[in-house]
Amino acid sequence: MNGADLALALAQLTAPDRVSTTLPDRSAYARDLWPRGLLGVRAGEGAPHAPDAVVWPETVAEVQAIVRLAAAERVALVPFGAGSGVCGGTLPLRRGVVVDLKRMRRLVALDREQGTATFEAGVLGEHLEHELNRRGYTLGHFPSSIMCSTLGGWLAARSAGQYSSRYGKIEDMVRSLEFVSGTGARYDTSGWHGSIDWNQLLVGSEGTLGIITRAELAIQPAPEVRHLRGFVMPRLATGCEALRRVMQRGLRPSVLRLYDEFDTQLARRSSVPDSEGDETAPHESRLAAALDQAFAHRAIAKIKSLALGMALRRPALINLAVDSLLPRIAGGCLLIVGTEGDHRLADAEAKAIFRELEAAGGQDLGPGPGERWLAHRYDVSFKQSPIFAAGGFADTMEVAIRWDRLLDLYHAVRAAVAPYAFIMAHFSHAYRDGCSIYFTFAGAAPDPRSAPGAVERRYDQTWRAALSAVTRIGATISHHHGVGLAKAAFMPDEHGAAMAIFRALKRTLDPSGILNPGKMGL
Amino acid sequence: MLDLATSTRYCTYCPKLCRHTCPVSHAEARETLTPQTKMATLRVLNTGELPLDTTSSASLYGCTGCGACTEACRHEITPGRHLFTGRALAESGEAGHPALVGLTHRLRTVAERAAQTVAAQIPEARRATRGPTALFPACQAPELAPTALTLFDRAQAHLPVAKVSRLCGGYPLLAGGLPDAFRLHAETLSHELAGFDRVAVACPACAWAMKVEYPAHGVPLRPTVIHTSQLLAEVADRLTPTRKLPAAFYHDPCYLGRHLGLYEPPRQALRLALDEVREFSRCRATSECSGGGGLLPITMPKTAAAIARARLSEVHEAGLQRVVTGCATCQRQLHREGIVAYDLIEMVEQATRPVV
Repeated sequence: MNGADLALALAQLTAPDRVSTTLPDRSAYARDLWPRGLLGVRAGEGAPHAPDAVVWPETVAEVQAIVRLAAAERVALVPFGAGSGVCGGTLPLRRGVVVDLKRMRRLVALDREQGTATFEAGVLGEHLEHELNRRGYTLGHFPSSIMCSTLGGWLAARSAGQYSSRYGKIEDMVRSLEFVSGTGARYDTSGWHGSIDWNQLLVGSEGTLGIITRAELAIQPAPEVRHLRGFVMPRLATGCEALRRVMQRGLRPSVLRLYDEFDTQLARRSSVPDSEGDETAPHESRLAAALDQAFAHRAIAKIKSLALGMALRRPALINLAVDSLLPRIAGGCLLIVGTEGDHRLADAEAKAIFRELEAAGGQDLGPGPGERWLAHRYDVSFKQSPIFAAGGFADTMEVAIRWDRLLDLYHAVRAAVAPYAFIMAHFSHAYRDGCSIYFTFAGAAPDPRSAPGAVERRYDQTWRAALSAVTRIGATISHHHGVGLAKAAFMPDEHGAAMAIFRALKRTLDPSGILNPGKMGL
Repeated sequence: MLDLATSTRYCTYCPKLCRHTCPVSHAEARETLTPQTKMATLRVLNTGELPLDTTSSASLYGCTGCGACTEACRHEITPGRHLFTGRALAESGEAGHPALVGLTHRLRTVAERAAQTVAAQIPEARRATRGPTALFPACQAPELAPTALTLFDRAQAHLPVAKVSRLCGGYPLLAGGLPDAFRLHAETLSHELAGFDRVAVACPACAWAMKVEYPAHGVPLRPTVIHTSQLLAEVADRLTPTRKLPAAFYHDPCYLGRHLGLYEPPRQALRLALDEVREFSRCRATSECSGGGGLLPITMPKTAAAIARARLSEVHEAGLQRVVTGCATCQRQLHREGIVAYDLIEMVEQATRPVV
């Protein structure tokens, strides 16, 4: 079936104005927010992965019809929410059809007695939370992408929000799912109770096993009170130990974020206007902020910018200095902690948590740092543009591991990435059994006069080094960004023999292999 | 304000952090119409990397200029304003939107007709070319001019209506990507209004254009520009309500709120008139657009209607069926979708009308 015939057939299944084969529409779906793709955009690559068509279904019946057509014609389908993924998970590698689900965005049901809300998968995160808020509820899910990601995307990638230690990750919130498999069959897990949690088959499968069309989620009453506090921990190790003790005591902080020395030190030097000069202003990425400022205000900070530019190209030296000096001079690591909910419980938990942090050597900085974190908690993503616009790159890697290997993982990744990029980290999703580390790195081509492709090679080197260290230590390659294309090569390392089971599942649910091909190592 | 080149570069590399605010991309659910993609498209059109034609320029017209994206942007980028510049680029490359062909002539006709309507309704003695303050009715609702005069007379603010040949500040020309025509229009109007110290403009978009864009286009305007809601707030204490009208939602017009920063004056006036001024869950700086700005009702009428429907969902939910606003374009746009939409002036006039 050629492109025109395909579009015609899709239009018959949906509506003529809900199918497009125009170049602007196809180009708009040719990439997601994988920073590797942004390097291509900057290099003028155009749209190497433009799909043949884009379709916007409005009902699950239309999704089924689209899938049946695609299966019959062996046309690849890529489910698409808002394209905020950072691992290339929605790139139409084999062209085909992008199925944009954002016209399926209704609040289907709010069950106050059960404490659940059912939404269609295409709802944007901010809209979902707004709809719940005005009815007196919250989902409690606040990923930094909340403005630009959908419920379907959260489920596809096992998203985590900033309040995960209280409310859990998205896989903890989901109660049932509706999805369409690669044969066009519709499944609803709401009636499937018993010994197997069928929801978890689909959550995290990134559109390779089925297209999630709606989900029932556990919701909470909007919190009565919210406490936020800053602490400074003497060292990273004591901070990590404090996180472990808090979680293993069964306490449920809403927010629990520990910044490494580099991150904390940059906070002290950052002159981001909103920091009001406070030395512990908890912007998530001081590195990004500093780079941003240096690049964005080159005319007035030429020397600083040049110094940073040179440093970006020689990260090994700076990382070495950071490793050897900062733990001695940084004055500790910033930790942001909070509790919320019923005021009696939140007050009691706050006391217990603060006591635990103080017992670990933490110094209470009062509510200021926490409140500023809350006010600026989404700002870090705005730092990406100036860095890319100035010729550099920035990216993040979220991995997780058991407590006894946590610092091994931290040091191994830092050492592996150090030759290629600046690197720093925070620890923001802690559990009884372990913790995730959120690494941020930024770099540039080794030489400003480098041949085309140099920055892309540097970026790829950085990621290879980082993920090799991660798998060597035995950590997960992903915590909440998914796998997509960026980490696909490391799936066998991580999953071993389980990859065979995954492939068998794929054959069962998607026998034609049309659903998001080429992703997750499949 | 960041310049066009920097803004489009920043937007190109942005993770679409303002997309949740965009009424057009929400109504259409198309990535092509997110502020980020529109600005990325403008970047490559501006640099010549993407050839300019009516297909490649189409997304530049998918914007109401509402400014909600700017409100969400930590870089304070103004996609709405930059996209108007993009439309000028498209026009100059003969790749403008087909629905806007002949816009200059069409606007002139509408504005002249509106001026004639006002002239027919308002006695010559109440129309002037000089004075301390004058009313400047909206071209979309010239018939409201007598109501406005009655209301301000009641408040002992005996104002004339500005006597002009064209009753429009020229915003549509700017939004249509016709900066030269806009400048010419502005020069004419500036000359005609030169005898006033202040003009109270009924249309928020034109008030913004006259206040901000005239100087930016090198056209000085002698009178200070205010919106009629500001004038109403000034004289509100001289008005006595004779009846309270049923509760209604207040819709913040984008150009009155986000662009001119006027949130309180219309509410202050409305509190005189209504039992209750009901707020949308998204109001003031985060208010949603009605779909009426940026010429969207002409270039993408179905989308504009869908935006209005989305805006009214809370009104239907509340069972009130009444909305008040301070913008004739918003009023018309919301009215089309089966709601009774009122102008602020109209409401206050009714509520302060003497009991016979």
